[in-house]
Amino acid sequence: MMNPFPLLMADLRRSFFGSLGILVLLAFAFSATIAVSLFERGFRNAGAEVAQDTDLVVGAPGNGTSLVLNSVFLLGTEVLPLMPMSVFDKLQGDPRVAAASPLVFSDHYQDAPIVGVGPAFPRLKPSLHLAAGRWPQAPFEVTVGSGVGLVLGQRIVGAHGVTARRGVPEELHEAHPYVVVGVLARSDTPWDRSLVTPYQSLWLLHGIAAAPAPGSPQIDADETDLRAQVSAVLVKPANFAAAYALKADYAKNGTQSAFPGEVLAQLFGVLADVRTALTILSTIFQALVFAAVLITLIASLPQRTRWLGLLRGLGASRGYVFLALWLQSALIFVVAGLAGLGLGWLGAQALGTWLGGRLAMTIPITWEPGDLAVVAVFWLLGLLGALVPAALGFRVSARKALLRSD
Amino acid sequence: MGLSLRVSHLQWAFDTRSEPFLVLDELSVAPGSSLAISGPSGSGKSSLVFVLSGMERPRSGTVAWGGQDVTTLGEAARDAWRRHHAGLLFQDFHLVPPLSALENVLLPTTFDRWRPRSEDVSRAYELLDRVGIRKPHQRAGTLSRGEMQRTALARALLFRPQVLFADEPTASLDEASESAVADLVFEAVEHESITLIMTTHQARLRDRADAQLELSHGRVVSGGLR
Ligand SMILES: Nc1ncnc2c1ncn2[C@@H]1O[C@H](COP(=O)(O)OP(=O)(O)O)[C@@H](O)[C@H]1O
Ligand SMILES: [Mg+2]
Repeated sequence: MMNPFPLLMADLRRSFFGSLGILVLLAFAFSATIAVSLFERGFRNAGAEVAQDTDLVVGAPGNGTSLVLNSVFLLGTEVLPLMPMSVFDKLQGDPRVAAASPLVFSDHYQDAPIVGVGPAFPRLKPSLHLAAGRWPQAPFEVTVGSGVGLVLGQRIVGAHGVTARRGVPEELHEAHPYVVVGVLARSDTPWDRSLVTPYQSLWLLHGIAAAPAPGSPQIDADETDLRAQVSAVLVKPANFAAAYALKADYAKNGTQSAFPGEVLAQLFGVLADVRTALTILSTIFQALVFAAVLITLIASLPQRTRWLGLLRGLGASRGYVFLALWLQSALIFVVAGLAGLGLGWLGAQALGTWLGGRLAMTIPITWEPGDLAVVAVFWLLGLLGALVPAALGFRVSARKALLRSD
Repeated sequence: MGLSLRVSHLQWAFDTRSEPFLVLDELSVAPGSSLAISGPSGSGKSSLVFVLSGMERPRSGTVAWGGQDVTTLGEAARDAWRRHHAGLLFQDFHLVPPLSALENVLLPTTFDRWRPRSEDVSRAYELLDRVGIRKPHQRAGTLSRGEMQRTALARALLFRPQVLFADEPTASLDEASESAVADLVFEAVEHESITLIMTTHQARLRDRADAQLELSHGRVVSGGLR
């Protein structure tokens, strides 16, 4: 069995920086494809996880995507227009509704929103589990997500505004501190970075309801005060048919309604288009780099065949020359594939961490068997491509290689 | 024991269309003896070595080594013949610079083995010692020219060749290395009774051979056994 490795390793050492450059170029081109596919999948999984609990969202008329992003994903990109509490009451009394909870967004603690909810909220979010304590029952009790960093019994002060705004002094509600009565288990959803409190807390703070004496919070008996308003209502319809009927009913008369899953699907549809475009771009980029690398390998044949011609003179077979040329290029492709995998994973992680941080959700970057197929295709093309310089170079004539160049 | 050489009616051209460049009607070299091929630059000395060693196939004629006409062999068989019977030395040494002296000597073992046999390794060390290379693990690219040619000689001798082809082995060396390398070459061929085919344009070296052949424009001007 022949062993062309000593020679080809020597040649790689001779052309170290050139070969390294080729390798890095190939690896980066390949990593783009990997990163796009890993990230897109992670994002899709994370989004589906978040959306799965919520069946229907009803809000004041406006942008449906914005309603979903701000109520289900707690994105805090904009202040949702308010609608009367009577919408919730009507839903509550509707036989097609299994459970409903108002959502009130107006305050925050550090970078986490304080979300006002109704008593049915835990039923609407079965994926949220208590790690300690209980759900809030009275105003100014909060149950906090695992990412907020608070423990049972701690007292905190909320600040006005849906999110903290840079450069704007915080307007603290110091008169009405909250007490932490529960901590949620980590759910890898935006709710990990939220504080949940009875919506009455927020009403009291903002004087929407008749404010009782400070220190002894007490909810006015007439909660359905017309001045009382909510940002959105989460609804669990009684059944499939009810869901569509409710969606239709609440799409008019001063409200809008949306299925978060549907909005998400549209977003992911857009994302899939983006992914397709990116995949096409990265594939074209990859093909160009691939061609450039092959051309470089072919152009460097004369340098490489000098030694190989000498070996032909010393009695090496054409097969040896072919194998040495093929293995040398193939090695570059194989290592570039591995490096591209690693780089792609790192890229997807970085994107996931960045976007996940902004969306307050965890974007899991995971491998799937299909990813191996992508690498396998890259390797296969590399091994096949490496045949080209080998086929062009293996007929090197010993005489021409050994002839003095003078 | 070295091989005998009998060449008859040899014609060789650069390609199928051109006129024959080399024409050699008759040439005999006794086993274990040496032949010096001389002539001006471009007279065809190297070309003749390529043909005699089987790297190039002549248009017609025979090149019989120990009775075996290598011109009738296919390419793979001629490669194998060189691998097993011939050693080669070149004016430019043709070492692989990033490899060590030892690795260069052992390079021919990689043609049909994954790892060199231990006897090949010990012979490589012994040959390097014999040609005066004291640091066998030094990179070939950092050796002096004389050391490079001595390393190349060790490589040529690794498989105990019966024929040594040396194309201007001393032309790139200074005077001191030249005579050292020449001494080593003649020592080796005498010691292991190898048949030596050497080209040179240096009279000193030419006259050390048992027989001389002078070429001009690919034709024999004078030659034969002295
Ligand atoms: N493909 C070719 N066609 C025609 N002439 C060639 C070709 N290749 C080399 N030559 C000529 O052949 C001669 C080379 O012969 P060579 O055997 O190297 O001579 P020497 O070793 O005696 O210097 C040179 O004159 C060179 O110009
Ligand atoms: Mg020459």
